Amino acid sequence: MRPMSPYVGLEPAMWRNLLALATIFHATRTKLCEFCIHIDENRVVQKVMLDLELHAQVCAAQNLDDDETVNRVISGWKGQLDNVLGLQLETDIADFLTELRTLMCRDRVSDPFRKIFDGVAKLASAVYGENWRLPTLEVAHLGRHPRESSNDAYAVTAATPWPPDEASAEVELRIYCDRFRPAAFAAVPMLLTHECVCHVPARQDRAANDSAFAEGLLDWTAYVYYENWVVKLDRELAPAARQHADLLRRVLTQADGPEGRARRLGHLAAEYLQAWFEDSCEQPPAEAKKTVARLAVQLNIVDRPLSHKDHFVSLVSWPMRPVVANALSKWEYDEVSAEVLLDTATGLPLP
Amino acid sequence: MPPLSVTFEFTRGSAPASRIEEVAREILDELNDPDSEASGMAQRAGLNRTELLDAQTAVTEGEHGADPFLTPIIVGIIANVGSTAAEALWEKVLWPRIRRRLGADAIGEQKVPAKDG
Repeated sequence: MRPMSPYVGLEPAMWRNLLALATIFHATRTKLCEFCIHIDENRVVQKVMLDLELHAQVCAAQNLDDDETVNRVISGWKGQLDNVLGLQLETDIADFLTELRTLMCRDRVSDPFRKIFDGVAKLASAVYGENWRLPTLEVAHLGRHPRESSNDAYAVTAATPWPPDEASAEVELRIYCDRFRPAAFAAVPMLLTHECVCHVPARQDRAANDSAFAEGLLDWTAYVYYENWVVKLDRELAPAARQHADLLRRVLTQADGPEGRARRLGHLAAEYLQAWFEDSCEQPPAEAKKTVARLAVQLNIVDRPLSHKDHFVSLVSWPMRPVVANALSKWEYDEVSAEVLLDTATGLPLP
Repeated sequence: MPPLSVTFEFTRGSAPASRIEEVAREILDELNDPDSEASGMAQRAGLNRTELLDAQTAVTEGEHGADPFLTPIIVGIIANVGSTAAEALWEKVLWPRIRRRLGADAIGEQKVPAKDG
């Protein structure tokens, strides 16, 4: 029987190529931060990375099954590392490559993407409780970098195609295979966290990339949860996953266009809300941050148009408008629901 | 009855029109084999494979603007089937396979569909 891809968006050879790379990045995850730095700065490590990419492509094209493909990529790359280690190298580079060589065979998982996704989905489902939709993971490839003009290290993106089912949703991880390197792998947990916190359980109409609520306030919230989840997800990947989530955040919030603007506006609204809860409800900063995240999650499952939620975000400023402050105060003291808060603060007619 | 022509217009993605057309033709060729993946997909989409054997596609780039990424991609399907079946051929058979081969971003957002013929 011909080897298959578990994902409809990937040809079998493309899947095996990604699987081999992801397996090695997963195995060497405690060293991914250093790997990224060396790829940027050191020619020997750049060559080692290119060798891995080339070797993975060649093995993936051979129509072997998943395990055999990964075995051959690992053994071939190990041989290439041995050759490189036989050269005169700077001590720190030699030590680093020796560590990679030692680590690369351990912790094999059948699908590193699914492992990350299952962990994120489990944690997100606990936040949303009965409002959670059961998500499935798809992986697809891209023909070019998702932000071609910036050419950053994060050649990955994710989406939750609309419309989700009442009880389920599909999250699609999209990878530009030619640039799938350690930094991109380390950013995958945050990308999937964004999808699971912001879009999987959302009860509004189709999320728009220019929505300050869906892509901004909720994205800020996803980072709040991520900060608490990252070690639970994988303590060995945590330092790289945290570092690259922060770097990705910078890339995405600084991006030109409506999506970058939505993120900036939504993040700013979140900061205003946090400051308001600190000031008016006398909450310590960490608690106020959690309060904003709780509010965003509750608003996400309120059955109101996205335009109402975006309008709410646009009303949040400093000083807080009295009608918004009053609604926030009542919500915080459990006098009204998030739904009532939204309707009162925005004053918009019900759909 | 003359063959029906259905066109779909998209914003440009990562793939050129010529490449999309090449892949679309390969997929249509597969319909000659009843055991092929394309034939299976057509069957699952409720399409009659034999009615699609003469189907043709033409993928072209629209008027060039100052920005090449604003150039639309126009996908035309000519087939002896109704418009609903032609749309299903694109959505359930051709596009999923083109997407898998060329990438999820091979073409951009769909513009308002136009029909004639």
